Amino acid sequence: MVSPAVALRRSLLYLALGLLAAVFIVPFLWMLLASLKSTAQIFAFPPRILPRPAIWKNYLRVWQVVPLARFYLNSILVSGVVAFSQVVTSAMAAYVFARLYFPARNLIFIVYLAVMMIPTQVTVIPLFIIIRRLGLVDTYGALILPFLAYPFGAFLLRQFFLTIPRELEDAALVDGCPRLWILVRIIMPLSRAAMVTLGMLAFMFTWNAFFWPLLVTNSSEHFTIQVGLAMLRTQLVSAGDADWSLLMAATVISIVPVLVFYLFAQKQIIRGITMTGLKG
Amino acid sequence: MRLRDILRSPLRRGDVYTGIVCLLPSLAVIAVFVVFPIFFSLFLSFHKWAILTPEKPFVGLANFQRMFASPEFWQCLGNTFLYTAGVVPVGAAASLGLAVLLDRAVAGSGFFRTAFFLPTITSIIAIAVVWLWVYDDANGLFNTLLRALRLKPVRWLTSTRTSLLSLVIMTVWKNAGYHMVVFLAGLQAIPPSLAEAATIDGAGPGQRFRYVTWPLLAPTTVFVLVTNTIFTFQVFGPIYVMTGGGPVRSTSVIVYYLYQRAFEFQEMGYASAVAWVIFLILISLTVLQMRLSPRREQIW
Amino acid sequence: MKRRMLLIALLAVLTAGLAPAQKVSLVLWHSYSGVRQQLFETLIKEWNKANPSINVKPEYGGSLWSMRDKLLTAIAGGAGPHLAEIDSYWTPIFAKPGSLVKLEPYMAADAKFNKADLARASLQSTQYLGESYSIPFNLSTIVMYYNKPLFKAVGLDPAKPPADWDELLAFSQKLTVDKNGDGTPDQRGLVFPNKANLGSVWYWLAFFWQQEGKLFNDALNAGTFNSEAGALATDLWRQFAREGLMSLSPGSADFEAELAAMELSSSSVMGRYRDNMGNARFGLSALPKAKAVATVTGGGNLAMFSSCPDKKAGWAVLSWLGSTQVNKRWALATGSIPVRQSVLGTPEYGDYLMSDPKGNMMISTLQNAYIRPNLPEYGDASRIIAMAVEEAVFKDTDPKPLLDKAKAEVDALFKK
Repeated sequence: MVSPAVALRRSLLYLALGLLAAVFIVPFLWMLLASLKSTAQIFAFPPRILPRPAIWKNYLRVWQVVPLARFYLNSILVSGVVAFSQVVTSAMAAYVFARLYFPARNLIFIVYLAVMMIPTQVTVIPLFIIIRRLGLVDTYGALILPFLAYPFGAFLLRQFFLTIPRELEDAALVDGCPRLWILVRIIMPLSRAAMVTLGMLAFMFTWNAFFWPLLVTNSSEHFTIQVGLAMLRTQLVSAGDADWSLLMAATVISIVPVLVFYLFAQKQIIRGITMTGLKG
Repeated sequence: MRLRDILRSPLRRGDVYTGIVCLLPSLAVIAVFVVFPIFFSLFLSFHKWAILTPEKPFVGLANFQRMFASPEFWQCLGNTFLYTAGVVPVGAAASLGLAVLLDRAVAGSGFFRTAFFLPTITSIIAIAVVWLWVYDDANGLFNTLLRALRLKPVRWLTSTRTSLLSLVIMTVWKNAGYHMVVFLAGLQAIPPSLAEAATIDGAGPGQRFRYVTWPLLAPTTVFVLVTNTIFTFQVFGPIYVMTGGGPVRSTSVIVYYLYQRAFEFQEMGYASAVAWVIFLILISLTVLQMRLSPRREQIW
Repeated sequence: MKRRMLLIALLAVLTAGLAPAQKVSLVLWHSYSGVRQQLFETLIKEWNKANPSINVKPEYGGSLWSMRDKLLTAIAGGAGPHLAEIDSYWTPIFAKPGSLVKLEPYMAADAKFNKADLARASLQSTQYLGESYSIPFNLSTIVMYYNKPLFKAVGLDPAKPPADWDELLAFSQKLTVDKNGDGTPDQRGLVFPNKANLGSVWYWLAFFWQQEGKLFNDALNAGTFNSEAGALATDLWRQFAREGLMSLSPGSADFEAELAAMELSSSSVMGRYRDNMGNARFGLSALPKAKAVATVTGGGNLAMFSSCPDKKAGWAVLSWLGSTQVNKRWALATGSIPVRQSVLGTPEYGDYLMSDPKGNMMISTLQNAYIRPNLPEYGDASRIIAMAVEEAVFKDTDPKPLLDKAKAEVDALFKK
């Protein structure tokens, strides 16, 4: 039995959530509907909500205008490898920052934080020069190698590892377990939420990266989805052959993998117990 | 504790080796691909480099002197501080609120979490198209709503007074889901038994939050505030795609200024100097945030 | 012993002749995607087939906005392309430090390359300090598009677009309509980019040159744009903004969506409007005049970089791409204005001109087209001017002091 006060609070809660969700979703609906309209209908005033007629063909055409399938696969490959690698390297580094003390440790952690404070616009050319010296221009290596590790993940996981009670590890240490075993068998399972979150965020950041892939790849076999979207945008600002609905359709398609990864990640994080007040 | 003492104690010796092994992969990648280019940019900040030619004449502090004497630099810096001051606190509070509301597997929470995360996963370019429509003076969503409520329409992106605020609103909207996800992961780490115990003791939701959730969420909160500040201060995408710094430089932020000097005018040395000033500002802000957060080992 | 060596030497000489001719592989960056990319790559394929010893590999280098950044990064890293499409006003950026190959000697040595045949504005766009560093490929001018049914609806003659500034103002006022009575116009008379980051200076120059303004002095070491011409052009824009005749936050397709009745835009958009709106719905005309008729050119050229391993081969490719036959095909397919006068005389292009009065109008605007000066300081200067104009228009203030301040900044550029 739920008391009226709780019921009222709950319905207010849902009302608030519903309004908020509308605020967040409306721009997407606009984009989704725009992907099915002609350009004139997209920007018409008074605004037309539903497309008339709905150009479903856009979703077929978009794969032909540029080699979108290839770009898609490239992005999945690159983002997937980078995400996995960042989770692994960050977990290992985070464990050191959280638990293993040695003299230079805090200094290195501060360096980790510090490197996130330099805008990438000034490091992009030196990085390109390094890639060039390694002979990796226009290869998957150029898209993956520089991002196999990044301080952000180490910082995130460090904060999580700090919240894990030391007693768990101390017991294992006293038993003579090696640190690495503790990391893999005790710490990581307890931090599943954080690690999955990190993987998803790393996937997302890599997926949405545009500047670096544009600079470092030349042949369309290596282009990522964002470069593909840029090709569809063509010369939007000056005059051009921009087909807005096609661009919207491609954008909708480009969101799907990250969304799927996100839904998978959320399943790992949701807590099963409902705690909205009284039980029974 | 000195290295010698550490290496001598049996428990700790393994730690140092393990520490090195665990840190090495991450450190190696970051040292080569992140730290080295940063040192190169430090070198460049004391030189002039026109990118297309290899000459890099030494100019000492000239880049910094020019920067501090440039009114455009100060205007961009001011815009950036205003923008960051708007986005970070509001964004963190909003994300925390959303996370707390959605932490449990209540009906529909999956749908809501997805809804709130959608803006984050979409690239800024698509977002920009939509929000240019939202902010349109004549037919945009906001002004249409304002007129329907008999209020005066606002010149969102075309007035120098509201342009930065418009970007702040859009950014909070876009990034709310991102920090929400981090907070959700943090909330998951809090043992539910603690909250249950508090409820049994008679604590209401507000008290539960204040005495159980909030303190245990502290490391996550610190993480969100610190990284949010670092990344928000370096904002580039929305300005590049939506406003180009205008109207009349009212939305020109410091990284956009840096980008223009670097690529539009091929002044990579000067741009590097600006980058290092940004670094100094951010490290000061981070240290400040560290000092202000509660001194407990678990947080920092 | 000696005989054997003689035999070997003979064999070597004979087989040397059998070795395949030296093959050159050149990389060419372009900014095309979609239909234009297919056409461009078809052209390159034809070249490769006809010239097996010079193989060209076309690569997408980003839109023209991002390609500049990509070029800078690649050249700094020693990985730049050999040939590339460049926006004409980048010429000083790449020519001054010597990244581009000066093409004058190749033009002179190539009997087939007719320099005099190039459209004046096109040729000027390739020059830095009087010498050519690229060949013209794409050409466009700013023209006016106007919506015929919307003209009729307010009682204007759809066959008579505004001829001068007075008519432009009067027509805009008539065409700015508040349909639902909420105080803001739902239909604007005019639309064009009026913010600096969207390239407003390109449009402002048209108005400026219509008032016979001069950007720089003859010695090319000081700005003279803070003249009356500059003030008049800026004041006109202020009036457009103040009276709501143009939107300060125009949408991306206001003309096509019929939210604006007249648009100033590039001639290259004509094809898109023809496809999406239908030929009968819109008209194309030259920009309204003031003291003079004037418009501005834009476009992309093709250049050769100093990293090109075989400059003669590179020139052969460029000269073919800029030839009458190729340019004719390109112009017909993409709606770009032909860069060579001889294209106008070809039967195919002649047929096109006869069938489409808009095409004729587009070509005719070239006669009064001016190009942005290819001075090294122009990039900086144009930005300074654009910001001054933007401030005057968005804040609705007197442009004279702002332009004077801009002149001081530009003069300082020349002194550096």
